Amino acid sequence: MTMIPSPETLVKVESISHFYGESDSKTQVLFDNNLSVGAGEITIMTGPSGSGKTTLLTLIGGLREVQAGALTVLGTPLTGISRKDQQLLRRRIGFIFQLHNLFESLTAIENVLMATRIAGVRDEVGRAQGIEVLKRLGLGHRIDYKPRALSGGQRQRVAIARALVNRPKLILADEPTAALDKASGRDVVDYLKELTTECSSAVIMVTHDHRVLDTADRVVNMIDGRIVSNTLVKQAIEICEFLRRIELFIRFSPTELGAIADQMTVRYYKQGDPLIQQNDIGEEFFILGSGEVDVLIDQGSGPGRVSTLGAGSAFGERALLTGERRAASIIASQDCKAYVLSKTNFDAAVKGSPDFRTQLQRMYLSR
Amino acid sequence: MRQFIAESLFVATRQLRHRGRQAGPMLAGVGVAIVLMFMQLGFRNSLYESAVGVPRAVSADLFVTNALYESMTVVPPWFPRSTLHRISAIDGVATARPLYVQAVDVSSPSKGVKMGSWMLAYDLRQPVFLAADINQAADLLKLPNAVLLDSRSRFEYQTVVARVRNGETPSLTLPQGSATLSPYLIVAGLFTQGPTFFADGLMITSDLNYYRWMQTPLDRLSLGLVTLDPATDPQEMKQRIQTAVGDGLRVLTRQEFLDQERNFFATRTPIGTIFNFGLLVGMVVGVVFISQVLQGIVEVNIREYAVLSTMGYRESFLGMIVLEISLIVAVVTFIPSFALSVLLYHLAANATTLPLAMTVESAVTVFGAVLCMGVLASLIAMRKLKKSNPLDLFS
Repeated sequence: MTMIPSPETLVKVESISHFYGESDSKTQVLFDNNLSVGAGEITIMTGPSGSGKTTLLTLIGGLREVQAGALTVLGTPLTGISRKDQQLLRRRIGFIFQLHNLFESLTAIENVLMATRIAGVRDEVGRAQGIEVLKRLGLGHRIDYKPRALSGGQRQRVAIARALVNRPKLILADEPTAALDKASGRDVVDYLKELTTECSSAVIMVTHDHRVLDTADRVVNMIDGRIVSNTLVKQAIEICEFLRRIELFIRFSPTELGAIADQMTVRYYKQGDPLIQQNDIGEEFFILGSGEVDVLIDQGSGPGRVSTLGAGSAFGERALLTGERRAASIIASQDCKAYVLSKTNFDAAVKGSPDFRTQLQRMYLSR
Repeated sequence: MRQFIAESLFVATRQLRHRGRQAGPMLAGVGVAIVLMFMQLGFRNSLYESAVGVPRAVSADLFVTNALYESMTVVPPWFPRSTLHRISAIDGVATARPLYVQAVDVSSPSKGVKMGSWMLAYDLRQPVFLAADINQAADLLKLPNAVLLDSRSRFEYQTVVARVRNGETPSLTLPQGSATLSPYLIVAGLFTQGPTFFADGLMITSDLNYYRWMQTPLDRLSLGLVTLDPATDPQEMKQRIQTAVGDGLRVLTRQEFLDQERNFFATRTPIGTIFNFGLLVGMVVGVVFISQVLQGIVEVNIREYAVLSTMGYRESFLGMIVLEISLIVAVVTFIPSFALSVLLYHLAANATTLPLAMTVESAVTVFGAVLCMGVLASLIAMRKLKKSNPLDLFS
């Protein structure tokens, strides 16, 4: 099966654990965490204090050594990374802190130039880029001001301009809007959103600011060093909306639908790729996210198309419920995206909802 | 590399300017340390210069001394004058002349207190001094009890100098406890040389007058001054003369003799050690003050260094910022300190009549020491730099 490649993965966290202290005082703070963040994604990490969000963020930023597991950031494996490569990686990441941490002796534009210089950009070009970003963040009239002459919000926006001026592929932000008023916080988040769209950058943001949650493509919730949920928000909403329109799921509450959506993975197919082959054992349940598929049945004289399904259509559940082999083949008639639920998770959903099973059984018994 | 230095220098100058006012008292401390070094170096050089003043004033390619000789300031052990006759007979030797050196005390004409002086005596038929004023006045020394007095002699001698300049011929007594009548000297003329650290005055007289006062046989020489034919090699002649006079005497080239006089003060006298020690103390004090300035700046900017580290700047960049701040502090404080030291040299030279003057060598030496201070201080401050941790920037 040939699949359309999914968006470029910029951060891949695999079984990452982390410890503080040594020997007797050694304490585990991260437990076997996995996470993938793709280009163009805004990921918001939430969770109570001490849940390990910042530790994971700083690991991704190459500011800590990877102790256990594997971590790949912007194509660079961080396990055993050399000091030099670590520094080179940091230059490709934009860091935003809760406190602005500006260079007090430098003006706003000079602060921004410190970022362009380390990226090897000539000062004339860096200055033009810096002014553009500062203007975009509403600081066009403050470019030659030193931090002490700026308000708290303005300082934070200069710090954000410094982090974003090189249009980094990855931005790591630690409570970037905590010190900002509502309007300034919104400006900053909008600019981050614009950047992710324009440059296919990824943003990983640790925040407790609920005002910016609506911008997230993915919300990762951590508790006690573990990622307890990892939700692609827009995708989950889309899946829930599709599920809600399917007769089987009409009576499911939003919470139940969300739980199923969390377990579905996205898969991309090219035109002509089979999603299901007739007579195979059923292993997955599908919802078509975009594109179209043909339903083909071979009754001995070769496959014949019996129908075409579009976005929002669900298929593959019967074989999972009855244990029968697949009754038809499903072939992509154009490039498409499907949300897939494994048999195990499908069964778990069925077991967890007697009402759901009754509905399905009634439906199939009535056919 | 040029860009690396330019960019780090940009941050260094900005940080220094930003925090400079707060570091004012510390910068003043650095300046004091530099002035202290200049003064120590100046006094030390003055000590050395005064030690070689007389040897420089005589004409000699080679010096002959007793093997136990240490310095002209320590009354030199004598050797027989007949040695000079043997040296004169060696091919390539132009002249071999005697010089008598004696420390004497004379009584102050106004208060009667003792005043220390050096007395140099020579055979008037064999002039040894280079200075024209001495040679022109040499005839005066043919008079009994006549001496020439250094016009730059200190304290009470200035009264005598003034009287000579007024056309008088004042007399000084040489107090001798055993004599019924103390011998006296007549100051017949003046010359210009300059005193030393160890004697307030300097007098020149004839060998006969010297004998008259000291009752020391003229066969007992302090130094033998040898001039050579122009075509000869001083080193070769030194060896030949050394062989001729044997191990009881020592033959030194002019430079070796000057070096020996300097080294005697540098290593054999407490005062030389004190000045060298003072120079070291000045440097240590300077390092401490610059370190204080640096550590204050590093402490204040520690988060900024962590940000630079997070942005991907290397430790060498941070180290370069600290080094540059240190060197700027050192150089900037050097300039006014140098100017102040020139003024202090001038005042001290006037007060002591010692050869105290700012030389290029002194300026370069102290500047080099100041740069070393800057480097040392930055190395100390870099330990603090290691405390800058990017992780501290996160909540």
